[in-house]
Amino acid sequence: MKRLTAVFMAVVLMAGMLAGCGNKGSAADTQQPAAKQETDNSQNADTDKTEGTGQVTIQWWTPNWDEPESREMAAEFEKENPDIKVELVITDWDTYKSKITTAISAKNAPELFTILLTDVGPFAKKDLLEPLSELGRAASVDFDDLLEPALAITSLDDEIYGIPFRYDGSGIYYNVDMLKEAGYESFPTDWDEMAAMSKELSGDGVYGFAWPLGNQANAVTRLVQQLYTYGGDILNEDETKCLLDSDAAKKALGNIVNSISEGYASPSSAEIDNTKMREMFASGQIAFNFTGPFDVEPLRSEYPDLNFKTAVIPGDGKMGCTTANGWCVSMAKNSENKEAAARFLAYITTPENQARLTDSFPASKTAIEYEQFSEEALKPFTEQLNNSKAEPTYENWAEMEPVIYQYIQNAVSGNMTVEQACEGMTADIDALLAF
Amino acid sequence: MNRKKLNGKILNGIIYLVLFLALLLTLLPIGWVFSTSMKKGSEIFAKPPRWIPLSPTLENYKDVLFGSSIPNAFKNSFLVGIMTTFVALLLGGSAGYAFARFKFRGNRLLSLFMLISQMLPLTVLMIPMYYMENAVGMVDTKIGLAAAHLVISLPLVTWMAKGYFKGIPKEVEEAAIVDGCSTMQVLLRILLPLLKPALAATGIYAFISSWNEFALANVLTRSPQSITVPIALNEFSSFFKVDWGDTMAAAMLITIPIVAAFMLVQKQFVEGLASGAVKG
Amino acid sequence: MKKPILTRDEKRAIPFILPGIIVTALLIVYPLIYIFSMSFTDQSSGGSFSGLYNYLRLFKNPQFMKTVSNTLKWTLSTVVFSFLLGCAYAMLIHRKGIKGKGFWRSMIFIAWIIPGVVKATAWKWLLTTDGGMANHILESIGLIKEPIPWLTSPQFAMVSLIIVQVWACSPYVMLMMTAGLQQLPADLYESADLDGAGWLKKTCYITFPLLKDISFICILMLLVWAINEFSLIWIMTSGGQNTTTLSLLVYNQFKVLNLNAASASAVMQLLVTMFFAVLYVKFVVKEEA
Repeated sequence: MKRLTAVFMAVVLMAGMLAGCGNKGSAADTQQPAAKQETDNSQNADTDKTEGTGQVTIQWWTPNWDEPESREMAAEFEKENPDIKVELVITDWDTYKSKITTAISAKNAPELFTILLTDVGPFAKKDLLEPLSELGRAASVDFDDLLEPALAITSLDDEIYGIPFRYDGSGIYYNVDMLKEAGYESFPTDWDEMAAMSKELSGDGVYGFAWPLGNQANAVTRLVQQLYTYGGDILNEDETKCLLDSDAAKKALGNIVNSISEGYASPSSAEIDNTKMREMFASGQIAFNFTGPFDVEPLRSEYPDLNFKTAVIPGDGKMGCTTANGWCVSMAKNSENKEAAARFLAYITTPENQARLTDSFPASKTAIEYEQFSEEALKPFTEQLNNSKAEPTYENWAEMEPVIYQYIQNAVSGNMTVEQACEGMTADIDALLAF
Repeated sequence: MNRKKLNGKILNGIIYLVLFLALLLTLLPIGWVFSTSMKKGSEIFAKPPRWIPLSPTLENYKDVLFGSSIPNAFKNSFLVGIMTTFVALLLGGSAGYAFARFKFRGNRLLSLFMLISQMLPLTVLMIPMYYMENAVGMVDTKIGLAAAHLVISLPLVTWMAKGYFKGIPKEVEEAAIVDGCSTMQVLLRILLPLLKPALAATGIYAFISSWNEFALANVLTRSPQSITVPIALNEFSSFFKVDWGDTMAAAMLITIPIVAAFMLVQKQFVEGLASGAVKG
Repeated sequence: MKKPILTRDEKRAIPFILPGIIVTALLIVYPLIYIFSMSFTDQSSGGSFSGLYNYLRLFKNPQFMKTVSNTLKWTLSTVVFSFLLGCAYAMLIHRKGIKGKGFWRSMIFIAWIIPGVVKATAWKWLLTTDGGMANHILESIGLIKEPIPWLTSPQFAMVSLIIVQVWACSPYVMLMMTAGLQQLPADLYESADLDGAGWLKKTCYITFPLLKDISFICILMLLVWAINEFSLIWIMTSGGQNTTTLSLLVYNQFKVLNLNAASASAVMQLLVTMFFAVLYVKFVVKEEA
């Protein structure tokens, strides 16, 4: 009897567990894609009719800064295409990449997701992305209208893996009043002149500028910009050797380290990112800032008193080089409704919608001619694109970036000299490449 | 004798001072979080930083409670915690009982395995866990996360329960069996009531572990209907804005229930934890 | 006489133990096998067998060696300091004549009870270099002149993280050691007093030996937490400023889908953990025998 009771208890336990497992499966089916669904009531009537008569649901993972526009477009598209339902999952900057990475390498991947242009290559090499040339053409995407440099980043072996809708590089925003006070009418185009000016601007808790060294991606991008400006590169042509011990690299890292140690770039540089730098610029803690064209609008609306102008990045006696990057929409190989997704993809990358979705410049030749992109403050950014280079897309870049970042931190904090840091990162990256 | 007394008094004084400093150090970060949570806008970055806000406001709390993902995350965390705690107590409690009371081959091996399981790094389990749950569609569900949290709570509860059961003298049971009780009756009527406080403490410990867990939840959840509070708090800092005021208000709101739960059962908790471990 | 396949005790144990064992096997054993076998395959080419390639590549990577040394530094210092500080708390509060024992204990224990993410966020905010409260306090009591870059320099970042971990874990040690101290037999001390033994002698010959068990439990838990710790480091430094430990390395590689390196380093992390686990189990086995 005792034993029977015990056995019974065990059976109940097991049954409970199994039931639990069963529920999990079904719960997942219905709940998983339900993240932040569209709830436009006017639409429900249409969608209800088509329910069960072959309506397909596609998912688009879009970042939170694109959320309002994304919602509008999804609603409009659903109205025109009652057979397709678009579900949005809102991602954010800190986690979007890791979440997309895990999601697209598994089953039930989202059809579409917005990612950085330079993230397309590594994903495509891992065979996680759907080739878009055929699908796109069938859905009438106008590939000829897309900017070549942007499209080049999302292409691999003559196949396109992402449709760009935003493409831009950095430039300078400067505080006109602060510069005027120090006797400067316009922004210098030479790095050394800029350094001299920054020294005059610094004092009383105010600095010439700052570096976003608190964030790996931001920090490495800025070093790479400096490196490109002095004609250096990260790897050699056939990607077998690291070139970060070159004089160009030492000069590039030296510019960062010296500006902080000599006190004309903010000592907070080590703990801030691009977001914080914008705030510091807006509140007059730094006289100028390196960032993309997307800051023009928010600065004007949030800080109406701020008197700022834009300029190109100072370099080695002439305009410096910027890294350019942007955003595109890609399709997961593991997803289901690819044709429906391609139709929606074509819709969101039309020139009008690119102009709506982008926070800076569109990647469409037609759209970039629109009036909204030709105003005075944006001109330097267009000019700057003439001396621009894509951010690195090496196969092992994800492994190399933390190495570079680590040595930047060591050099900036004085734990290593610039030489030691450059040689250290070169040795470490060479070790990675050797294998 | 008198001098000894005086020395003792001075020593006590020093000890109070040390304890007071320890107290300050303990409360320093929490105090600063609280202070920041009452500030808005530029006051947050005022230099030098001020302990007492010039114009204290509850605005941040309002933002968090009525305009953020935190309330929903609260619900998720609570449900996940309850599920994992319940299953861990049921399965771990009975396994612990068996380990403590029955002689069987593999007893020692299995219970040592449970002990070792507590030491497994979550970052190691995270990768296979993600692919496993993904294969059965459990990623981004509360149940999926609760199941993953069993990795922490089940070995813990088993090991602690084994200690509790061992701590009860066998004579108690033997006497009951002589009185005609079955093993099951002994367990349900005598052992469990005796161990109620200890098991409650273990349950609360399992719940807190689940509530606080970050690494697994960070990988296994993504959408509002499954993210737990630690993830929601971390996502407060988005690409274009880190509002420290809001973040700190959210941090306060997450901490309060846990500290309150602890205060409520502090006695059982301390006794339970300690007795489980001492006899471990 | 036929020997039964299962003894009476075994038959009784099975229903109690089986569900737990099955769940453990599913949630712990299977994932371990999964990651272990994954580490011998090339995930970037569809999971074909690649032997020891992933490990060799890992060992050839200077970054990995740095990570191992960071992990050792982090684990050993947090365990030692948390243990010592926790014991000190416990003994100070336990002393006769100290009033408000419960109050002191529960106040100090708050540091342990608050969620890890909150701890990390709070300390990150406190330790801000420029305009942070910690630097402000130290400056105003004259201990430092220049703000300390707590989390933003390789010289301080690891130290800061260790301080926070010790801050968070020592209360747990305090609690456990208090429980141990309370169970010490008073008569032993009385007879030691009669023999004229001093405080040091009593501590060394009575207190420590009797607290050996509980100390090992504490050290075990501290080891687990140190090796497992992810959220604190991730939120405070993201592994920057030379603070990448094995946990962070595994996660960072998983994040960028570098599964070859992620699985190999995960197995290495497992081995480091098991090294401590075996030490501990050896102790338990000795005690039980």
